[in-house]
Amino acid sequence: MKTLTRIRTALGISLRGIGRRWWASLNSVFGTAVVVAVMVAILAIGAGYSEAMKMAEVDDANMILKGGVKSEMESTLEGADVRLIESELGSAAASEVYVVASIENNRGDPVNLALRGISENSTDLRPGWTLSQGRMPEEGRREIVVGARAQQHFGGMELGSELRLGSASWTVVGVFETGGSLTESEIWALATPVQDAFNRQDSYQVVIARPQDGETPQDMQNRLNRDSRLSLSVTSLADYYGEQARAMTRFVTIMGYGIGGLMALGAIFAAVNTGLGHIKTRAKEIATLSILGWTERALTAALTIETVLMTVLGGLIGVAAVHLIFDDWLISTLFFAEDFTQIVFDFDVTAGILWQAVAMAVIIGLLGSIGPAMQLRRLPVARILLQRR
Amino acid sequence: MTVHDTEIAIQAADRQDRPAFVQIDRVSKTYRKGKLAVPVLDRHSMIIAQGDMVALVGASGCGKTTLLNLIGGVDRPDTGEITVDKTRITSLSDAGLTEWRGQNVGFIFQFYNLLPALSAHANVELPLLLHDIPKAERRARVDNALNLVGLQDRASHRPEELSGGQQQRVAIARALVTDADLLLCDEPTGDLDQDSATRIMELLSMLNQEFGKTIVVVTHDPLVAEYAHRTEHMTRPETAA
Repeated sequence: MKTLTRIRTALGISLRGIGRRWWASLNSVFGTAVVVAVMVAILAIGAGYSEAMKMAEVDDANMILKGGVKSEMESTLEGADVRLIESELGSAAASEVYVVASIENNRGDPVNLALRGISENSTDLRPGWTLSQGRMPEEGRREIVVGARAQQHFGGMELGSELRLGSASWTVVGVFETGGSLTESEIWALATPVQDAFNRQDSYQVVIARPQDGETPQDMQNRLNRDSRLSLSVTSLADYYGEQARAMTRFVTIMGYGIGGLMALGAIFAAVNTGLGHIKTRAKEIATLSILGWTERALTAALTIETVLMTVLGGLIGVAAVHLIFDDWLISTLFFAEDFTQIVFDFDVTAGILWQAVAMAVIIGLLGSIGPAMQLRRLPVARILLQRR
Repeated sequence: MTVHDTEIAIQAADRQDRPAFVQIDRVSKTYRKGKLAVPVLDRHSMIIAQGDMVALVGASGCGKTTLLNLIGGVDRPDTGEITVDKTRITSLSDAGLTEWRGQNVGFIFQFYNLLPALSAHANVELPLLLHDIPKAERRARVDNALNLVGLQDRASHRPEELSGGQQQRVAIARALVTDADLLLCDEPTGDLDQDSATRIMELLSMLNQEFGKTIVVVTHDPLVAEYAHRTEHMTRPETAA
């Protein structure tokens, strides 16, 4: 109890004098703020990407692709095969055409977007899919509905506007939302005009299907491939997008911690420097407290806590800066997209990232206080008290 | 012999009957400067009675401040033992010594050693923060101590707003506030003009006579030493290679 009182009072006394050394303290605070901001920004990219992928994961829907292929872009299912699949699966399936279309974004740069030619059940098989503006495309017309995020991020996709996709011009007649998932990065049209415009004749890339109760993707694959005319791969939507999310998350986590770790070394040195500066400027104060009954342990603990408080404050400033500037900013990337199309997602500063940032700040503070604490223990108290300053 | 001298002689005889408050028993202390051993105290022994006021005088480097630091538990002797008010402080752990120091010793330094960010009141209150004393009582004790040194109207002033003599009086109030029986003063007037020095020494003398504080003063100033009941002349041991 007495030790706690000593630590608390020593900390209080030190903080009361912080105005006299605010510049050195700011050095430590902002050093940590920059490190944490960079780390949080990178991790927020990963979290936003993962979240977009996660929302695209539909638990009770599978993707049926050509046997042996891993992505929609690589897959080709002939019309005859698709009809065999649909006859086996019934109404719980939607055959879709998937092509990569190039458009110009609002800066005039070419970007690749996914153009999905859908069928009647496509929207039903994606829970959360809603048409937020306009109407659905009509048969026989080159009309498209665009994902809200694609519209926001790339521009030029307002209702009624014309978009050049492939060799044809398309009219935007609607905007859809899926809660911010990957699907919102896509453009949708009916399958037939897409086949016509992209010379796909009677072929598709994927069939989205709802499994029977308790049926695994492997079970469905076995069931479909019992027909010797079919050679198909079946994977769940959750696994398909989950794998991409995991790869991206791994990448940004390594990058976030790698870059953050390297920068943290700099912040640790800044904290050490600040701490040593504090010991130097506060030597008299520390020696006086020591003579008045504050133990070395209490003074060391107070110094460590103060250093950690400074770095945590820096960490919170870093998180707040990223949150205020970047949170909900839309960005797009081709990274880890299986089909080289842009995936639009937002910075997502999650609670988990916030805790990681605080943990990073605490680690910087703890490591940064070791040197100053050792210096404090070596202070020649008796000699310092005899000095004028 | 004057009446004053007679009073001092009577007081000295009276003090000899009092129990030893500080016992220094064959204490040695050597500092090292590289390969050079610098003995500062060599089997030094001394007894200070309760309520005594002793001046330690001698040339620079003779170990006056070192002895004061050893009595106050700021430093430890290489050999020998020191007992203060029946506590053998040379046997205490570092933390135990720090705690003992905070409770039993008041320090007064040449350069005051007040915390610049704190007011006079807060500086005096510092030692009480380590004791389980309610805030109202702390305030009363600080007010009393400041009153005693004549600085009640300067309680809210920071050290930089006070003169040297006033700062030293705040330091004395800080040394008094825990009601420590032992006051250790290292050149308490060394940074003050003559008038301020006289006021400080009169204050210390009053604390000794009216409150029975045992006071040890390190000084170069013969005028300061005159306030003491006893003067301990210290000499420097020979330096060994």
